[in-house]
Amino acid sequence: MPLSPHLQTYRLPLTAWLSILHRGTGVVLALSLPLLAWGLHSLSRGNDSFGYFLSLLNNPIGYLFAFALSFALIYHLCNGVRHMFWDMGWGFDKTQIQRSAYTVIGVALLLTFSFWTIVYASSL
Amino acid sequence: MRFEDSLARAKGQGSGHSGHHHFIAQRLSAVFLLLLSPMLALWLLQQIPFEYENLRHAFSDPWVASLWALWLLAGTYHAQLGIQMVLEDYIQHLAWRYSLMISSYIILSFSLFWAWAALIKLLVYE
Repeated sequence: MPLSPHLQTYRLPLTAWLSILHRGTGVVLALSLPLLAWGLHSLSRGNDSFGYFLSLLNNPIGYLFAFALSFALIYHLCNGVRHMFWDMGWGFDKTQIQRSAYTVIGVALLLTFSFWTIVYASSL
Repeated sequence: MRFEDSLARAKGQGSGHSGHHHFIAQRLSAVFLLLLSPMLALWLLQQIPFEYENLRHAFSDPWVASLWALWLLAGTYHAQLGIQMVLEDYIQHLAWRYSLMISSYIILSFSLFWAWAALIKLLVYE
């Protein structure tokens, strides 16, 4: 574990929060892979078991969970692109890093809301 | 002062000696996921409303099943490498670190094979 920056006294910059969020969303997504396998399996087992699986999602807590998970995936994907540019040695400038941070947050939120708007509109 | 001879420097592995391929594999699987995820998201949007008959029919297409199978492979591998890195960074106690790492291998490989088995079952639908 790094000894610096001193986490209790140092105000973390935006990029640090995004870095933490990247790891956090990554862990959450890894943990959700068994849930995806469960969903696919319930579909393969027939109407009843799939209906039960859907009923777990078809309530306010389920919606919140699905929304959060979709944001986690989309954010992790967008910030992953940012990481790839860094791996190629591009965008390490202080202003560029700040700009790409805001871009990633904006694009991730936009894509998440667009996705759910389309889901909502096409299920009317 | 140089602590490595020229051969060691050319190999570029530093003091770690191995594990460098994890870095490459993490990025290769990321590129796969970057290409496949938008395709599957668009496919998912076309399957609304999510009803049993509808989805069973959609998953009986070998192309769809293959894309999902590939996404699951890339996703599971990427997830395993990521979890391993997080454990290596934050879990100092070696017994805990390796227990958790082995658990993550078991859980993630089990869920991958489980999902693949489901996809194969879903292919057979009339």
